[in-house]
Amino acid sequence: MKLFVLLLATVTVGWGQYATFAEAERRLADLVRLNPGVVTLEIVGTSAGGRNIHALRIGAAGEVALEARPAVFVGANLVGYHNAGTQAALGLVESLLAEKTLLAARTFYVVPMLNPDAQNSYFAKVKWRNALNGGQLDRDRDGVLGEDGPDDLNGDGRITQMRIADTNGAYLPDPADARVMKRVDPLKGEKGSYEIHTEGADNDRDGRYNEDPPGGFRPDKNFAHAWADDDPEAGPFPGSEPEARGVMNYLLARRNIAAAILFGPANNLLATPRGTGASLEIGQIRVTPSAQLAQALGLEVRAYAVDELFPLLENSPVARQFTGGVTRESIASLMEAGPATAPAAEDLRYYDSLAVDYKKALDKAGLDSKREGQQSQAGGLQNWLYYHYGAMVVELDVWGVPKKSGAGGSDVMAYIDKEAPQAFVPWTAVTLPDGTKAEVGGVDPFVEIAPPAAELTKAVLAHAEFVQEVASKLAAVKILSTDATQLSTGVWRVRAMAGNIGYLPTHTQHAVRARTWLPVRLEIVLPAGVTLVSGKTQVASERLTGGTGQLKGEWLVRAARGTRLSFALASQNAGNDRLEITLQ
Amino acid sequence: MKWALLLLTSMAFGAEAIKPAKLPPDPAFNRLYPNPEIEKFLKAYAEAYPDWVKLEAIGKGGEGDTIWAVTITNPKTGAHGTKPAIYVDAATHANEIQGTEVCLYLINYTLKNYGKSARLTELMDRATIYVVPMVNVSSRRLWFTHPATPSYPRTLIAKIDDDRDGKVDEDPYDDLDGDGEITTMRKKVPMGQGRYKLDPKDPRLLVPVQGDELGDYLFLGSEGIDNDGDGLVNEDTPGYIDPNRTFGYGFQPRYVQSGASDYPLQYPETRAVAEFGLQHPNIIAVQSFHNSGGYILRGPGAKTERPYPPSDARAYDLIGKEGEKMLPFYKYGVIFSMLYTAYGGTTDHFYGRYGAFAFTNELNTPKRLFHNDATPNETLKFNDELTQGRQYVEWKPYKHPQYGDIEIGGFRHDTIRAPEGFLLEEECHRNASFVLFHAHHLPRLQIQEPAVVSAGPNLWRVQVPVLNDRGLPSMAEMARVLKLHRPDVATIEGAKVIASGLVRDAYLNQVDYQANRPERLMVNGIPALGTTTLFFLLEGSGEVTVNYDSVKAGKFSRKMTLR
Repeated sequence: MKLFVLLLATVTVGWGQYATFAEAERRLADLVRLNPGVVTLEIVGTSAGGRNIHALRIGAAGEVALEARPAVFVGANLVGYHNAGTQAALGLVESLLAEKTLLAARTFYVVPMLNPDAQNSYFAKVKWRNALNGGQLDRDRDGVLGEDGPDDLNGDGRITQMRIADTNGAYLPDPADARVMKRVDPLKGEKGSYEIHTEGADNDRDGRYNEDPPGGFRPDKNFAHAWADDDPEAGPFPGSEPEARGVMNYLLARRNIAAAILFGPANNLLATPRGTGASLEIGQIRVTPSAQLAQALGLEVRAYAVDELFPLLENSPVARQFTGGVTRESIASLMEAGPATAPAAEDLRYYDSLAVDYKKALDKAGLDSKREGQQSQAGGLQNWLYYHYGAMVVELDVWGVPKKSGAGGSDVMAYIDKEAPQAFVPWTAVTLPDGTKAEVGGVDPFVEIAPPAAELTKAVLAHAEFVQEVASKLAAVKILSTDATQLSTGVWRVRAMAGNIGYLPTHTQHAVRARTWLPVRLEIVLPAGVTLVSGKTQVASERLTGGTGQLKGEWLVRAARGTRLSFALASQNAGNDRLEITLQ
Repeated sequence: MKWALLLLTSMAFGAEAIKPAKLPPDPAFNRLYPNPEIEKFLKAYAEAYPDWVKLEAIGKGGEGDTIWAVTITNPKTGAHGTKPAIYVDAATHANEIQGTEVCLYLINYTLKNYGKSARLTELMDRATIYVVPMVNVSSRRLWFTHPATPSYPRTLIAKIDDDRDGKVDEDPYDDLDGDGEITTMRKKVPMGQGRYKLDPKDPRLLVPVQGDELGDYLFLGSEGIDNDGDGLVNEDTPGYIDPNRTFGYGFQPRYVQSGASDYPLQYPETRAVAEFGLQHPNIIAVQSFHNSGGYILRGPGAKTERPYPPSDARAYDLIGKEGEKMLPFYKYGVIFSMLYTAYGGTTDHFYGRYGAFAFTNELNTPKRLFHNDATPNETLKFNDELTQGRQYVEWKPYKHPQYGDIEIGGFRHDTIRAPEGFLLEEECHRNASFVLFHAHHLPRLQIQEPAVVSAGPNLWRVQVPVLNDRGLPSMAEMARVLKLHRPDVATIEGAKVIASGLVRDAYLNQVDYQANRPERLMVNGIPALGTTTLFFLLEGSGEVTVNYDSVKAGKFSRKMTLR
């Protein structure tokens, strides 16, 4: 409640009012001007259409420099038509500034408009879900650029659907609600009567409707994990588009980022992220060594589970020579297990736990927590962040049509009838330029993703609160105990143990496999003249879970009584610690 | 006879040798050239042949060195982008050095032999050659100027913490004996503590112990010390982003493909190559030079990648199998089965993204030493007998800070993977010839005599055969499968197109009609060494023109009369 009151004092534009690109840009500039030393404007890149992609770096003075403390990345509206996401990002910024406590210990990097060229499609004279950047693409590969986009045939300012009578079409009016077109199920003996298209003429007369709208590529499909190599709008290669490349470079230059929040069409806390394969523990993955490898390692050429191989190879000098250190992950890599295709089972447990909090936050705000979220976009940023960058990533859709009560009919139509009757366009006859008779109608392109003012305000505030909850749960490493015993005159056994006093683990389970982050490192720092009897100064852990993770170091030190030495604990995104002891 | 006929054709065209504007360079091809000399040559060719050669900077390497691209085309037969093109590059791996010399040879040879050889003249009149002789340009420079090995420096200039200890590049190789070479280290130890012994036939070599033998030597790897005191030697050297694992097609992250970048084409060197490919859609053939082992390789780089469509594989086979004859001891095959799995390579990218038939040649094979399989003993004998010991740094004792008394010695960095000077020119010529053979088979389209048959008043059934008499199709089948670029387009000027399609059987009058937009007939390329016959039902009379426009093979027109 306190949060809500404070927010009202800082809100300049009502949350219910969607900001255009220019308005949002001005708001970012205001936030920087009004919060000197706390909010900094950064440039992520320049869009294909020449617009700046802005980021706000937010953090208050604290013990640790902004670029060294655990950070949260927030990115919104990469798809371009998810304007509620931009509102949520801007709302989060204002609530962070109102509730400054978190800002002394955390840095937030917020990019509210990841796809600036598409940001204004919601405000266009003719509204449609445009996700394309300002590049140029001959999407239907006919040698002509952008010659067949959608057309507002009925002049209502929005692109809906179009149905064309077809005696053997794939659709028929749903017997439960004749306004809705339903796919024919031949097994039930149904017979089709219509074909369905997006509203618009076949401008290039190639037999396809609206298959080459003006514009460029889809930045939200331009990332390397599960990238679609046969989809022209996914870009000529992953990372080809400036929006995708810009945000990746931005993230890669900020290794203090511990968690990423995306506001986009998917919601992986209202639907368990599935990926394209099975969620296996690393040990359950099955691999087959090549003939050459099998010979060198003394194995048979057959399928093994990584768990079967590990005890056979963990002490093998030959295996160590191939892999550096023998771990289950390095065995999987050596035997060409290929890329992960689903989140690691251990990571899903953490998503499940965050989902409980998230649903509570929605319930508290009076928003529906029962509806199903969408899965991530193939070739999208969520997957790149999880699989390639190796971060904990939560994508939230901010708002969705509530799950209706009772049987029959669709959630969308129930919502429209109750809350937004103008969002259904009754089917009305039109004649296409080539004389084809058609009917235009159906559901407004934004009704399912752009809630009205009151709902949006509730959603933005609930999400701002939830993101701060996630930010307070990040891993935090700390030296927990030390111990020094003199074994013989001038020889000391020195021990230190570090752990994670946060809730989330220091690394995702997948990151342990992907090795995209440095391990947590515990080092003994010796003053001049003091040496180890043998061995190295550093020990490391690939992952420390909250509460139970332990990183132990033990050293034999040649030193005189009274010597002061210290331990340094280092991580990239879970903080650092240092502790000095005196040998006595 | 056939040759004489071709010569006559060429004479009829009136081709003469290119008259250089100033004296062109005349490099010797029995030595490896450091970057500044290569650059000097490239600039000199551009000055000597200003109409034919365009030299442009397409990017900068990790230390600011310029990545050069050379375009060679006959200005009288059209701009470079209007002709089918072959793209050639080298030194993607900086240590795979002599590919640059092959590029230089190709440039030198083509410019100086135009107008002298009918076959070459025909090729250069209708094709464009793009050459990027030094992709990983900064690391290639360092290979000459800093202590190096046959395998290092190889990768991009990138700050990578290989041993993940929080310090970057803190444990490099060290030229301990200060001879300008990183060679190898070995140590004699009490019997039973080692896994090697001296080769009884040549004590310069270590051999692994066999059967019930005990060993008294340790092989300690490349010259260096444990600079960071972590118990490992040379485990965090400068590098390691492998440029040939950074391309976009089939890219996999580092835990799947070691050496990969954080995202495809993240670094400027290979980004420049990929952008060059995007900007030159007429490229339909690619040759990337690497070393070593004597291979002519095509993709896929991994068995999990898309299989190649059979018609494309046949085109590859035609070039690759002939290459085995042109390049003695070389073997033609697929990267993942013949070499090893490699995701994100140049050749995969050019084929899978731009629809270009791409080969990687692994230059040099030990078989070239004595024209036979070479054992380590024979390699050393070659060094003794044919290089008078130049290749090998003899073992010398050294006091190592960690290992104590050791010996340092081994092959110099410009051996093993790179041939001796007296073998280099042959390698350059044969590989440049392989490029020209590949380029000879760039698609060559000819619109043949149309067959016009009356189909009613003012209505004509027209069949237009389009012949491709070379070994590459005018569009890769993979380009159709992955929708990489538009198909070829056939149009008619001077008459109304009522219907169009492709003739499936000219004798049985079978046509596959295009359902829509008949005036723009889309053709998924003319197959290699074959003909596709276009069908038009035309309304009109008199002279009309048929136009055929291929992204890769160029534009062609032919007039015909409806009567």
